[in-house]
Amino acid sequence: MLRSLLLLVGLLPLWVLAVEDDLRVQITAPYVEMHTGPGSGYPIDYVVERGEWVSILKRRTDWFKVRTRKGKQGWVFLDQMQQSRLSDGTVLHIESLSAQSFQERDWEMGFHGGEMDGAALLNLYAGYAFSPNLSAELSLTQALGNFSSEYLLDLNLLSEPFPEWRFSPFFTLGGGMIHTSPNATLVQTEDRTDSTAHVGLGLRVYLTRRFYVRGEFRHYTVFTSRNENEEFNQWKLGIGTFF
Amino acid sequence: METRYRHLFLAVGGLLTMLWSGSGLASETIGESLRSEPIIQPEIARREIEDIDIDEEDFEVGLFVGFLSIEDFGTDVVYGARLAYHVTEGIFMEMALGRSEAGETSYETLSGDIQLLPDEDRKYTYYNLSLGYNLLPGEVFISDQFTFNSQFYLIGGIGSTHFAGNDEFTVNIGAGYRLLLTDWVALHLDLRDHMFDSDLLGEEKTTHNLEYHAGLTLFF
Repeated sequence: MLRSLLLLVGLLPLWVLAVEDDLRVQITAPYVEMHTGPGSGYPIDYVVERGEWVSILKRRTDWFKVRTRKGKQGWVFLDQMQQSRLSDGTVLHIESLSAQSFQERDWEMGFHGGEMDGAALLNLYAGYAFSPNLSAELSLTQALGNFSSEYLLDLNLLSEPFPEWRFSPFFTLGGGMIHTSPNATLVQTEDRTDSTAHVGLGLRVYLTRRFYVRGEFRHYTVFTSRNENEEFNQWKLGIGTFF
Repeated sequence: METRYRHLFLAVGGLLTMLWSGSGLASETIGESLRSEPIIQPEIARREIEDIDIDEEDFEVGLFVGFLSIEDFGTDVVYGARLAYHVTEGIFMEMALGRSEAGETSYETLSGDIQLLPDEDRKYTYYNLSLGYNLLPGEVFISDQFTFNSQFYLIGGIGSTHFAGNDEFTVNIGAGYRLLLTDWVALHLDLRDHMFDSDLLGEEKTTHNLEYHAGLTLFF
């Protein structure tokens, strides 16, 4: 209790600072509608006229929480917020996210579900883009078979020749590790870890804002310590977002 | 022989050091003369471009506690954590981790000291990756003093459940209610069905494990 109080007191100057730092803009649109919540379904309960000054407090998805000089607060949609200017007269530039923003991304992350060698799989991945065409990805996969669970850690390069297309194909090449652990009900094999390599191809479909769907096929080769190498295929479909 | 090589290396090293420091000195003098006598005096003051820094709160993190009814194993407390990212005003992606512990099947209770599962295998752990949609945004009015925003959402996804020593692919579907106490603090009430195939009690069947929980989340 005491600690949280101290924390609150400690944070107070920061909060005061934040209040002082509010971004103030002047509305240049004929009028701007303030909704009671960050969504088009919430009712409009106030209208700001042209020439009025408002402070922008925060942003959630494409909605901006603003406060008028009289202290009235509400949420304004992006395309109305863009029709305002800063204290030095310049137009307020706010990034509206589109397929174009995807090409300028640095990071992306998402998850997939799919199938691998007859087992259901779950996959979580994150990628860093060096250019619109080339990125590196790290992914963690769990495949849940009837007799064993497999964990895959992969590092791969992803090449996207046409990132400007809404339906954009890509190719991937990489390597990693596979760890197999048999289910408890079967007590015949030990856990084992082997290295893998894979090639794959896929398709990314940009939907809206920071949101896309992507599907992928990969062919894996496992370098086992036994006599022959194993091979298997992986299919997956998922969603992702980027920053 | 060895000393000769050592001498050679020392000589080369010394020469390189001299060259490097010498060139540094030279460029510094040139730089200094450039700085002291500007060729063209700029007449236009550089325009300050304001760095627009708006606090974006699209992530939601929180804890929850509730009850999970594990099929055939009774109902027990479940607790966990969730992290969500709001992609649009409607769509969000959520990752959740939860933990519970299975009780006894009715067979075990009736038979006395027979145990179908050792104690360490009764732990029920799950994680899931889900996609949610805020279907019904709304407002709640409490007396004539307070108004809170709320959202009723549908959610579903895939995940993995670790139970009885096995990992099972799990599909979850459900619905929830988010009550925003302030812009950045929300209360959740959630109902979820976790479905997976299990042959734990002899024959393979799809088990439905119903969870209801209350949670508190913060937007950041």
